[in-house]
Amino acid sequence: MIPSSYKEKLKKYETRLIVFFSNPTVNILWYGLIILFFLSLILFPTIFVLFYVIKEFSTIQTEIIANEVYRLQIFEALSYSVTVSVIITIIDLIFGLPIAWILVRREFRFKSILNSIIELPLAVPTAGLGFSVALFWGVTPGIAEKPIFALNFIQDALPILVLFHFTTTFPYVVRSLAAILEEIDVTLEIAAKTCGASKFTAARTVSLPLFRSGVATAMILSLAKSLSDTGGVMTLLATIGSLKQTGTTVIGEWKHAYQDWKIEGVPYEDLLNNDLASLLPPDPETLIPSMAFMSALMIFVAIILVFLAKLFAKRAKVPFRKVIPYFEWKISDGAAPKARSILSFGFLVIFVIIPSFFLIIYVFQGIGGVNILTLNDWMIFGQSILFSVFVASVATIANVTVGVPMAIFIARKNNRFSRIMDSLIDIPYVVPSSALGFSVGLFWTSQIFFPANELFFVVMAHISMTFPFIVRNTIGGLSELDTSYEDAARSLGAKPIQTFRNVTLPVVKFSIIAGAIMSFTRSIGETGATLAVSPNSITAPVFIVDLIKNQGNYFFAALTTIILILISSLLIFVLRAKVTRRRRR
Amino acid sequence: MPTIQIKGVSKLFGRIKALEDVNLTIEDGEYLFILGPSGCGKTTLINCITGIVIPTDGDIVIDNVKVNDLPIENREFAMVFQNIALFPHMTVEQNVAYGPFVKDISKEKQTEISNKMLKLVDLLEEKQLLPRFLSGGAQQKTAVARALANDEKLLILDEPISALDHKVRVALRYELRRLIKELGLTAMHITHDQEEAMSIADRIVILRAGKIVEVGTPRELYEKPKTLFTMNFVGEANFLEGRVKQKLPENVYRIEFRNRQYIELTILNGDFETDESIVVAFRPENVAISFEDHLDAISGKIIREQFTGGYIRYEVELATEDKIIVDSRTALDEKQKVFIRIDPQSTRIFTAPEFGLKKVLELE
Repeated sequence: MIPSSYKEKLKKYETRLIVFFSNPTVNILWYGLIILFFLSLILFPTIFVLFYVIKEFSTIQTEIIANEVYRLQIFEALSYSVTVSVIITIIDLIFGLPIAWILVRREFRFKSILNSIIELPLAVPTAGLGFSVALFWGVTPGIAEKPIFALNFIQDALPILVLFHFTTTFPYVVRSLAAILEEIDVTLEIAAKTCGASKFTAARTVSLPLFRSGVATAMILSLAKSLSDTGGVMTLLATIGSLKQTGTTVIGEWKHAYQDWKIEGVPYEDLLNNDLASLLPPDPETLIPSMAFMSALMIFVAIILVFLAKLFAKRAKVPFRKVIPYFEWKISDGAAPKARSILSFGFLVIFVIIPSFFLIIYVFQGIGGVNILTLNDWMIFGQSILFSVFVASVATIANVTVGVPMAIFIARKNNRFSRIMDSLIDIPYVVPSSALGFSVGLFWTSQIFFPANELFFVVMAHISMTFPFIVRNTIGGLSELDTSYEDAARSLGAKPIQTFRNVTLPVVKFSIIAGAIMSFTRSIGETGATLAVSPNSITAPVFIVDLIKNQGNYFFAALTTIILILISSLLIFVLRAKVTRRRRR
Repeated sequence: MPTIQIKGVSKLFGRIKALEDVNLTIEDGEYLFILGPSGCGKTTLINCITGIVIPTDGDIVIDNVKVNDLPIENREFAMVFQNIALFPHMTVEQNVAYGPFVKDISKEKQTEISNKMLKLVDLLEEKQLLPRFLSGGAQQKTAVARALANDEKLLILDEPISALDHKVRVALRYELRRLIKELGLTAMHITHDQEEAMSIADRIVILRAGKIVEVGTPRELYEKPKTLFTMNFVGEANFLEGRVKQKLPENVYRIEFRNRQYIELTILNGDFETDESIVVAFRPENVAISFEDHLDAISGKIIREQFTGGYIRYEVELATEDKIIVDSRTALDEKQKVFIRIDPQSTRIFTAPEFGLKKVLELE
């Protein structure tokens, strides 16, 4: 029971606070602070490495570019990343469009099941996902007892990387395509059908051309995600015993070697004697410039690819000028659509769902292995999980605090400044996470105002990385809420901050929660950025990577993954249940 | 040539009855209106005919073929939508030529058809523009041209001009009728605007809460409505509740209203018993104003006047405490005492409804 005098006091403070925040000067200062925070603590550290590379370019020139063998290594890893992500983007688009269309426009019995299973893989941290995919498709020399049903036939890195990235990106792509398709008026397709168009013709000539923005968004999504993934690629390649490297894993390896050499004091010659010898530069001092160079290249490549994707979506000619009625009617009617629905359902199950959760079978088969684990193992395990949850929570809370005002600024203050912000927001999202992590680490270590605290760096890297999720989701929610409600509240005398609390917040709350879920799961599953900031920060995904790569303890890695899945899905389901229950009312 | 039969069609959405046992035949070459207040089921009825919705019960028969399960694209009709639904990425010409285009008719023929249709709606000059550069009226004309270009004999119009400005709406409605009659089409037109329906329909179906209330020509519905709902919904009407006090010879009845007001009235539409409760319904223009008492007059006083241009609309409070509206050309003063005489030729008498007058007149 709160005493009433206390309540009155609280009320008084609240009124004061409202008056304080409604002061125009305070308002401007407040938004200024938010923008400053974004620019200096989120955006700038993300791309700081570009400035570093320009500054240190002479070293890079003499030590890296001049060394032909080493240079080749770098470019091979980079081109591998690019090849995989371009292939994946194309495949995602080809298969994503029909499945998204089926999900939105067609009614069939499995629709709700399909709708919910498509999101399941989002809960699996990629470090575990890489292992799971390798287990399902690949030849795995290190694993004695393969689970039943394992296909066991892929040995090469490229096909399995493509399969892996398909599993990680496809659910995102389909979901975003479906969301945008939903906004295209169904009446247009109906109108086309009343003009005598078959279902296929209507979709192809009417909805598809209106879908350009959706196509661009989906392409950027799969590009960014497949360029970025580190932990999954590491566990995937380690499981099939491949020594291939991509742009992001190379950064991780270098950082690891640098850590061993500089901090742990391992002689550099020893490091040069193991598997990774060919990857390391002759001089350990070149490691930092190498990482910077690679990060800058990755950022550069990512930006170019995103630009090309946007250009493609804008310019691509949809095959439009000709209709073949007989053929198009044939595939729109009768058995064809049914077969297509069943096919896409099966396709999803085989290429996305089974590979994602294959490690569950593995864990069940080897459940006896639990006994081998020592107390010390469990200690590290528990610490890593707690550490992950801690980092993810801090990053999410910080991002909600700064991201929501930022979203309001972008969505509601329609000025030149907000439009600039709107285009800058997505940068941390497009920058590959290893490059982002390295850049953030580099930025903070070069500051003299802050103590060199690795925990702080890790949290900052996660804040940068997940910031766009909160802002984008909140902007999405705000754009659905007609401003006339806010105007109505203002006309009745509510101050902006009251309007926000009483009118805006109750509606956008759900979008903020959705953004927070995305931010939290992304953060909890992130390996690349963490490794690139500090290899000593053992978050759960880093722990999984370490178990698989360095210790060969696949069972424990799989178990950790499952527990991580349980934690994230518990969170997702609790929050989503809350959201949907409120929506239905 | 299309005749459309709707046989006992019902549609349930969950527990909500959107349509209940609707029976209707649309003749070849007819311009039929479906008129009803919002939420009366008119869109559902059209959706059943087009195939957007599949009826829960009953059959849709077009030219003696049952089409219940046929998807939209396999049914033969052209349609104009309330939200216009022009393809935003195609020019006016491409929009109009869309029907021929998806049937893979030769390019020259496509141009020929679209030119012909655009000429019909007088939009040839705008054919290179994208729809968003056209005014609302021109956009809807384009949509009409697109529908007509399909060369179907049945045209379905789903509130095609409701979203437009009043003047544009009035101009467009006559144009629609001209086009439909010129091309000899059968048309079904949905609207909630009774003025629109009255001015151009061949026949009007009045729909209320999923059921057909009445079907008739605009004139029949206005002058001789069979139900109180129609009397109220189409045009304007006054209602006086009363009781038959005494039957006099030659269809003359002595009727008692509230506050012991009596009149003697000739009733031409039916036979009523003594003591039967009735509703006397009449249009505002079918009333004569007099300054002295008659057997068929009720006294009252003018409480408000409203100048509308052609005539003056008076609100009159009768001695029965009912307020009625009267249209007249006579200039009268406010608060002036008058006698209202009801013209028996155009007055409709109904048996009083069981659950009260208000309930019957309700729109939803």
